[in-house]
Amino acid sequence: MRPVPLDPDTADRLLAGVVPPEDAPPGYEEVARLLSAASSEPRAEELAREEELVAQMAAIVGSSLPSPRSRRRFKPVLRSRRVTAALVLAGLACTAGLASAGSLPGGLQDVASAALAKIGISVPDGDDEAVTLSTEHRAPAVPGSRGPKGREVPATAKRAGARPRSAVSAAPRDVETRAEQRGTPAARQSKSARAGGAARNDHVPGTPSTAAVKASKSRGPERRSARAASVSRRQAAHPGRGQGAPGTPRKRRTRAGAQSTRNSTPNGSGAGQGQATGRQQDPAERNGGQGGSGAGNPGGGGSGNPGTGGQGGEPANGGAGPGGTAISNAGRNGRP
Amino acid sequence: MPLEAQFCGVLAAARVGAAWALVTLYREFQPGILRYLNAQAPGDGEDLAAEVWLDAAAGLGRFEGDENGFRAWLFTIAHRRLIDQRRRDARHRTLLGSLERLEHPNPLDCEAEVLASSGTDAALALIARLPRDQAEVVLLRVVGGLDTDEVAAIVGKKAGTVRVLQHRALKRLAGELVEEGRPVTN
Repeated sequence: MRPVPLDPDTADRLLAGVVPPEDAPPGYEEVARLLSAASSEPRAEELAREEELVAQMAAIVGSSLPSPRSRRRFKPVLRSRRVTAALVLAGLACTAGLASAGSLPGGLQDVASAALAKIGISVPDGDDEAVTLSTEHRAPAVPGSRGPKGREVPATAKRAGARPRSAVSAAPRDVETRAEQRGTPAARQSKSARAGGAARNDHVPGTPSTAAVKASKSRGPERRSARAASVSRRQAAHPGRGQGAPGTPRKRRTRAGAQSTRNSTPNGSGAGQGQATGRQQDPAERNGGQGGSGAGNPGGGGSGNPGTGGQGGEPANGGAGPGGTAISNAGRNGRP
Repeated sequence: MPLEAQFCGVLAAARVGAAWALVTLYREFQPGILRYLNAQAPGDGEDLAAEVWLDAAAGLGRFEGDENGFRAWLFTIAHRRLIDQRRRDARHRTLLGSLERLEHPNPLDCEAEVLASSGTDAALALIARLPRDQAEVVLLRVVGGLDTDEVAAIVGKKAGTVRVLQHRALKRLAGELVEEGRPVTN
């Protein structure tokens, strides 16, 4: 006998075991009997491993129960200590990185510079940062125009006829002069350091020193004296500074280079320390000034080759001869 | 005897490792699990059932639900252990495995031996001859005592798909039993 078609509901009831074989649709009696046999009462052999498995289960359940003295109390403490230590280390690393890059705010940079100097690491201080920003990274502002951030150049600068930001570069020299007059220890040190140098030129006419003095006055006496001391220390410690790779405008180098540019003469024979005059924004002069700093070494300032002056900033040219070459060209570019 | 009202107390006692509660649960659910696994993985059913119980003991503290939920949870574990066993068989199908199968032949191939043992084994053997997905659905419904939705959740199919599979399985079983004219005795 062929089974009759089965509707879903009947199939569901058959599988649920609620349809006895005698009540099953035609052709499904045996199926109902089969399903009933499959779900029959348990047999003894099906529970043969009862003792073994129950013992293992009890052991597992007992081991997974929370102990009275839980480790939970100690874990957060350990974790918090590790997290705190990691955060402190990360913060120190970030601060040291920013300090070495000179990117910290002025006060923090000073503190970081002083702290790192105690362990023998030299990083720029806050004053260096201010000077460098004003001399190197900012274009000369035209009075009445808008600055890099859309701010208008102050009218005082306009009245003074100066370039307010680039003119700050002339400030260190004036500050040093005043510090010397006051007779501070830093100024004396700076003076003695300069005394070891060679020829020295004075202002070039047209140098915006008035605006520079104004800009430096606005900083306050503490910062001026600190900066003067910093400059003099640096000059005394590194008379030949300014030897660097091209394309890496290190801030101190630029500053030292500017000073060497001041020292240089058009014939390329100048050497030693110079005066903060003739500071220009011309890139050619800047390169020449960097190389020219190398001429400040004792024995430097050799005869220059006028045709290679632009290479004065390269490390290979950081010695005496090529440095003099750079000075020569720098002088030409900076003072037409 | 279904636990029903006693289930909550038994489960709570089993969670703290009471042996009597574990024995009660084992006696209640072990036959269905063993039949399901024996029909799907002949020769490995005992070991797989032991794995299921040990896994259940490890996760007993996390389970929440009633008796039907516990039954479905146990068969879910059994289904996963079965899948793991099939994957292991597929990976380690080596010459040694083939020799072992020759030594311990598949019970499905010895139908007469199965029929001689008991009506339950015969019934399970006949169900196991169905296509795998149909056999799985029928076993979970009949041996496990689960409804369509629970089976669908375990096998990862839609409830409609499960209904179609069980309908085809019943139709196929009926056709085979009528053709062979073989009665299934209990």
